[in-house]
Amino acid sequence: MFRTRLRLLFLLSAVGTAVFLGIHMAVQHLNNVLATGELDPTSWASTIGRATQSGWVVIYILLLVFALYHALYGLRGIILELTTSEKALRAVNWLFIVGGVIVFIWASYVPLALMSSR
Amino acid sequence: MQAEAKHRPNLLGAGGWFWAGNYKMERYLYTLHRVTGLGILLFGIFHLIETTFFRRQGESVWQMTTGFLKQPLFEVGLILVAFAFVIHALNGLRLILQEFGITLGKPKRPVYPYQDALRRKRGYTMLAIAVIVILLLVFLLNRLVGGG
Repeated sequence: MFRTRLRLLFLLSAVGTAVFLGIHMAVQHLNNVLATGELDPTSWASTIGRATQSGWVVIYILLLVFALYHALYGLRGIILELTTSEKALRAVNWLFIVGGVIVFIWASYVPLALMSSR
Repeated sequence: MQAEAKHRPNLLGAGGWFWAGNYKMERYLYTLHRVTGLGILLFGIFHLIETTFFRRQGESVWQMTTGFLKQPLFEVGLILVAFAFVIHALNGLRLILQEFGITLGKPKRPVYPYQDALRRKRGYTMLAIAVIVILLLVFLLNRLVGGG
């Protein structure tokens, strides 16, 4: 049951990632087609402009949560297809849990710190 | 791994993604899904490093980084990542719908010549591919008219 729930979370995180990454991609890579008025979405002014808006920070942190879970669970599935070793299963589980938490803390701290410093 | 494979004679490993016998279209979509997923993950790692370590160091470092990434090689890479995202997202949506049985139709008696549910409902797969191609063209159009 626990594994089924983790799998369901994987599917839900896929939908969440598609939605938030879709927003990110539309702003960054469809600026001309959608006429967003952004000449260069990667410029410092544009980047910091978004980083200081709480709405964008929320979108980026939600994207981070969904994408991180989806990516790590997906990669775990691929690795565990190639081996049946219990040791490998435990090692991969702990590596991904600890690594995922560290990446989440660091990658969500940066936008929060940028927002509060402005 | 070799000793383990002796006990699992059907284990094809990563090679089985590309060749496992009589492949149908959905099997190639599965391979494409894996390859695009791993590609997006690799890009995501670099993108996180760029937007955290480099952005934290201020405007000059950020401009130097984005300037470096505007080389043609990285520009092509970015287009490939956009393509990979569209393919992975829409094929993933197709897989989720299938997992919940939404696009598979009702069960039928197995009457010869047998046809599996995937092939009876191939229209959904073709629709997903058509949407993928349209979105890829939109991304390409944005790039051609000088977009980011």
